[in-house]
Amino acid sequence: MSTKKNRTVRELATGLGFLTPNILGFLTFTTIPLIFSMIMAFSNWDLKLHNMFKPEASPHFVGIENFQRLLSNSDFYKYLGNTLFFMMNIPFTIGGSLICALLLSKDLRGGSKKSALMIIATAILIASCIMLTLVGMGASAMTILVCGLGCTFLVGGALGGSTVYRTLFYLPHFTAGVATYLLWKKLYNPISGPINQTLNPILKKVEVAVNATNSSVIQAGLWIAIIVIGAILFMGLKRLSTLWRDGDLGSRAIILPLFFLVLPSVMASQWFPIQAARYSIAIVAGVLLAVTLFMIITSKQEFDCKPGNGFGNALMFCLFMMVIQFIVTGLGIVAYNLPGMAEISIDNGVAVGGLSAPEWLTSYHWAKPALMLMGFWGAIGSNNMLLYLAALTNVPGELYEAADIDGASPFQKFWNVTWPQLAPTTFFIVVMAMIGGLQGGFEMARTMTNGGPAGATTTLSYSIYTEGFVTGRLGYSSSFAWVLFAMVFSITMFNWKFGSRYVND
Amino acid sequence: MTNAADVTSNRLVPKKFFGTWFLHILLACMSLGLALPFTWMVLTSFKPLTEVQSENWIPQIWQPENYKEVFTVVPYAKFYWNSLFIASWVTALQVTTSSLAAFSFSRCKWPGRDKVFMLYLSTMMLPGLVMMIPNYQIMITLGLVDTYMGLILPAAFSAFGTFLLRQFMLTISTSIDESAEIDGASKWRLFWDIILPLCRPGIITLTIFTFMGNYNSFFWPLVMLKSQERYTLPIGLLFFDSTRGQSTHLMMAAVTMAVIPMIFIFVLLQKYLVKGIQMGAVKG
Amino acid sequence: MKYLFMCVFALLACASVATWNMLPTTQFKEPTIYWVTDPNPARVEQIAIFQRWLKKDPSRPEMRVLVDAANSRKEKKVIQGVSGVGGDTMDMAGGTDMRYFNAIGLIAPVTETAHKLGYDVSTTWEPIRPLIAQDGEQYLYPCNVAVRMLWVDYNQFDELNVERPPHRWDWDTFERIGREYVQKANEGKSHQDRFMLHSIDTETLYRSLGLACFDETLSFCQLEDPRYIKALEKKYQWMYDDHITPTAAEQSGFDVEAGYGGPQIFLFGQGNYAMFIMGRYSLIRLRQIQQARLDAGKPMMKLDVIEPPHGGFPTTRCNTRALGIYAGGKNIELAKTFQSYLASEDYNMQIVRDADALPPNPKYVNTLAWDKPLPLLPTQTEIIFPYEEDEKNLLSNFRIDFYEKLDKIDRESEWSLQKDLPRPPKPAKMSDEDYQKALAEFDALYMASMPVYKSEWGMHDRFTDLMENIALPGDITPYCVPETVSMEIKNAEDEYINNRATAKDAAKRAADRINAEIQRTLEENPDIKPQYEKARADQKKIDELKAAGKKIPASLIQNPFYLRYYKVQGMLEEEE
Repeated sequence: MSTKKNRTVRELATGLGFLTPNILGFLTFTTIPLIFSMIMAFSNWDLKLHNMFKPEASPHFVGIENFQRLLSNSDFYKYLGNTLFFMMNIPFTIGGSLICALLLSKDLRGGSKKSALMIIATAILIASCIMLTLVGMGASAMTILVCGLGCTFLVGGALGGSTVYRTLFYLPHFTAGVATYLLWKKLYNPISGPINQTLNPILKKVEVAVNATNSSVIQAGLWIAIIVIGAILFMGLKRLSTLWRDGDLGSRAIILPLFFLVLPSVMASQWFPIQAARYSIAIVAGVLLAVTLFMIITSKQEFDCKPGNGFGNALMFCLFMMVIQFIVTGLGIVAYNLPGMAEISIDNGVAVGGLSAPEWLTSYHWAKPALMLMGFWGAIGSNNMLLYLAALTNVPGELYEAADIDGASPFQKFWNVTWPQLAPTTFFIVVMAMIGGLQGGFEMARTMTNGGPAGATTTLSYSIYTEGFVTGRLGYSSSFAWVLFAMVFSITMFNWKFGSRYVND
Repeated sequence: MTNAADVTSNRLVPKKFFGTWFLHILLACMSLGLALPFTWMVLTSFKPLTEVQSENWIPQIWQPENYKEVFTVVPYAKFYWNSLFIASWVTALQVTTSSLAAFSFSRCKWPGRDKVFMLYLSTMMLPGLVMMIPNYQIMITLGLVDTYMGLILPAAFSAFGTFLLRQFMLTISTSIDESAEIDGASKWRLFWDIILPLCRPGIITLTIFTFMGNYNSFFWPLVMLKSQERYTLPIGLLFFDSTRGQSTHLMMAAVTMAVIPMIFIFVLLQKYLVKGIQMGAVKG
Repeated sequence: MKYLFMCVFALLACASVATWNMLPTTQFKEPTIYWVTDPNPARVEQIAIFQRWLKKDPSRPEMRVLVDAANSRKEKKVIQGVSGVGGDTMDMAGGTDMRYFNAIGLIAPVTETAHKLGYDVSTTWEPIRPLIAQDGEQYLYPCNVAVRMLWVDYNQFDELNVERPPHRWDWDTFERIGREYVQKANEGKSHQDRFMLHSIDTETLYRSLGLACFDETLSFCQLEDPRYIKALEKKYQWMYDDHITPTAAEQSGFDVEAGYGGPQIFLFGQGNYAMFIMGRYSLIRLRQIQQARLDAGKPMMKLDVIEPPHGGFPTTRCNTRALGIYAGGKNIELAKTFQSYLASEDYNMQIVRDADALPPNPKYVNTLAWDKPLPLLPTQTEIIFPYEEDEKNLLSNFRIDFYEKLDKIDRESEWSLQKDLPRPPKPAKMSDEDYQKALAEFDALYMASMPVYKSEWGMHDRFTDLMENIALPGDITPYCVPETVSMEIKNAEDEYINNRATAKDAAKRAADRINAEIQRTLEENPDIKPQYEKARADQKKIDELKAAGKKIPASLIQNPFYLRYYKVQGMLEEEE
């Protein structure tokens, strides 16, 4: 009895002994500030009223007033919306990372020195061919630069294998933080930035082509978009109902994937520029949805079956479909508006109109996509790719062999073998990305846009900063931070509760 | 040491579908896309001021003196040293404290262990800005404002590092512990002689993450530091972005130089990085 | 592994020792104070002059001033200030920053000392007095004073055969000339690259219609007024319909590698803009541009400053970069000595000579150096820095003899183009006679090399004129944080310019949100409520008087804009 107690005490002592250095720092630099800021969140602490120069005034508790004020503030929702908008980048970056990892996980050495030599020879051949043709046509130094660079990478890859590519993919990650932001601020300059210097000549050519074509031909793109969206919707709904029929998806679990799948059509029925298109997409989506629901309900599947194994699968699938539908919607709208945008008029002696490259950071509508593109560049080859690479090596080879025997196509093999095996990693990455996304955007906004134009790039964390240090309302800004914490926390809880089930299936 | 990623060799797709050369070209094109902004940065850093806005990426006049000028415009060497110095200290301390704590969380059994660990984890989710003002007050109390210590100490204890190494240590079989105990080895010996060497990939992963994270950290040094001789690189870079005198070519030279240590470290340690990630974080 | 750990720590220990040894020892034997300011090379000179000024009067304390240019951002001042580690003296924007910092308690009042040491509010320009004092208590003293003016290069108008803008013009004239200019300057171009004006702020526009952001008692934001909406629409029209001023994207597209003062000065020199709005300090860059043009053999710009276009009531904004004293500092008395230096002749003449805006003390614009500036002699830059030099080389004796000679020369005469400034002879190595002869030769050469500066002669009086007659400070409400006001206005205007809201909605949004912010501040800080209620009562009286068409007593009005506006309109009842 007493030896057991002794043992417990000894174990506690050893355990704490090892923990001491960390726990001391943790208490000083995390726990104390944490408690302090928790108290602040329920107080009216204001830098203007309560500070070292005003010892007589002390902040007092105001209960949940800060939270009430925050949740009734329309700005909060706007900034939350901005933050969520930036988080739409997550599926893209994760998809990109996965593709990179899949490609890098292949055997790039080709088995022998011979194939390496062949690749180098091909690279040099391609390079010289392109250069010869282009120089003959008067190519700019820029083209030669790009070709040369690409071929150098090719040669490097042939010699060094995936290590070279991996380092190259990881390159954006090195310029993390302020360095990236400063670099991209220069790249995004509407006139002198290299992006628009490349885009503008291309757009000029498009403009000429568009002006030469009959506008109704181009505007037909809108109707093609509707057809494509309908087809995608059809495919998605079919898959969902298959999952339902197989018992992989319960009634409670089907709602979220369904929502993501249908969302683009609902939005498109608001966004499309002409009435007819709006009605068409609404009718197409409505009919498809009604038929599917009808089939689901009449399938006599037990109604309250539990959220099954297929949920994660369906969710990922529907998110992917949603993204594609949104892209098609956007393309359709662009096609409809293109002829009008390409028209050139003379206004007060100055040429206006015509296609021009986006104004990126200075335009309300383009600032967010610009920052997202930058995020995509930075995140695609970063740690997520490495995580996927690591996970890919852990996939048992027998599974592929079995699939080979079944005669599965590459896509089938990916979908049925690789993807489920990567599920834990994907889940981990998604959750980490969501946590990061909710907390992010502060340094970016501060160094690149100052939260503008018109608050388009103000995220929650930047707004915490402005509330805290511009207006001095520390209590209010702390409550802001704690609301953010609550959101992050619930996502993580969701992960733990739900992710473990999904991951272990 | 075989490259961890190459082990999968061609499982997903038969060779005939994607020839190796096709794969290479695809990868090269992707690398090109990712490397273009980087290329622009490096090329611009060699341009004279007058050419910065030119459409031509390749400088007409190569001006490597930009790199020299960066050091004269601001005390860049000092910033460089400070960044490396601080990041190295933070990394060394964080790896030490995290591995000790991770050992405690994974290899020692004491009551309340998992609850404390959950507390650790939940702090990872709190936005850093919340704790800034209280932390600043603590720094004043400790008299650490505008010192290297003030930058090193708060970063030396990390929940993330503890989490990463704990996950890593959990993958090491417990039978080792038992045999060590039978041999009469103390916990310290178990940690120092057995677990720590086995954790090498995990430690290297943490080293890279911590070093990169700290090397790039911006806001805390910005508010903590008063005197210019203690400034770190990210803050130093802001000198080139002021409205008073933008100088893109110098800024790009400065950024290029700031990136070099990172590339160096990555190329040196990337094999371990993948392995560390593979064995650690995923198996959470 | 073990050895690796040990090696790493040993290396780090060595590195720490090295770093420790590398830290500079900036300890003087005299007590030292820090001056938190912007990274401007002129500060070094100003401090050098300060050290010399200190020695002029033995009663002044022994002290040193060090520039801290790394902490000039506002949030750093606040964080460090409330933590007890702020810089002893801090530069800040007069008015807005002062109100915020003072609300925190960050800056020390200096009324008594200022009176004693001769730098009270009466020694500076009248319009900026409300920006350095609050509720009868002085907090700051200006480092310099800026009045926002329209800089013009007449050559750009003459070349295109467009009528030159007059010194005072209304919006219609501005539009007429602007349209003609833009049309002629961009004829046949695929995209516009020449604009008449860099940008104009809405405040200048709506103020010239007789509207201020806040009402007479500064207790209510009245931007919902149709006059503000009109100003917004004008700004939009000039940007998108008339193309007189560039859009935000066009502006940032031009963004070039510019030196001090921002890109617009450079683009003005290049001809992308024919005008831009800025204070006198833009001369620092303009002089460099003029010199570069001379060196390249190009004609110099025909510079002038004129008033911004007005909608009935000509006015412009003035502001100040002013020095405040950190209330938590250890050397407040020394800091006050440094503050009093800003009112001295030595400092003011440095500002006059450097064209760094207007000197804080208006007394010093009645000097020859103001009216007819000269380049700094090469030797003078040399003598400033070893400031232990003897008295006769001091700056205050700023080559008065030159001015006397120059007066005799016809202003319009041709100046020979001289690339290098001649060097003055060195007396130590020659006989007295030779030196006098060399000096005379040098004088002649030197005068011939000053076309850059001569091109400005007569222009500087315009600043004094405008400062004294039409310049007005911003109206800042004491009932909420100024930063919030500017942020809300900027957001609303951005929304309008980006076509996200109509002018009316944007105006309503800005006004509503600012007024809500005032109410919130009152709720949080009930101490200022009585003051606010009195202001509302006063406002009611004013509104009644206005409605009845009666004159308004000056004692009721807090807003500096309306004090001037009603005075000009003859609606002010001034008390004895």
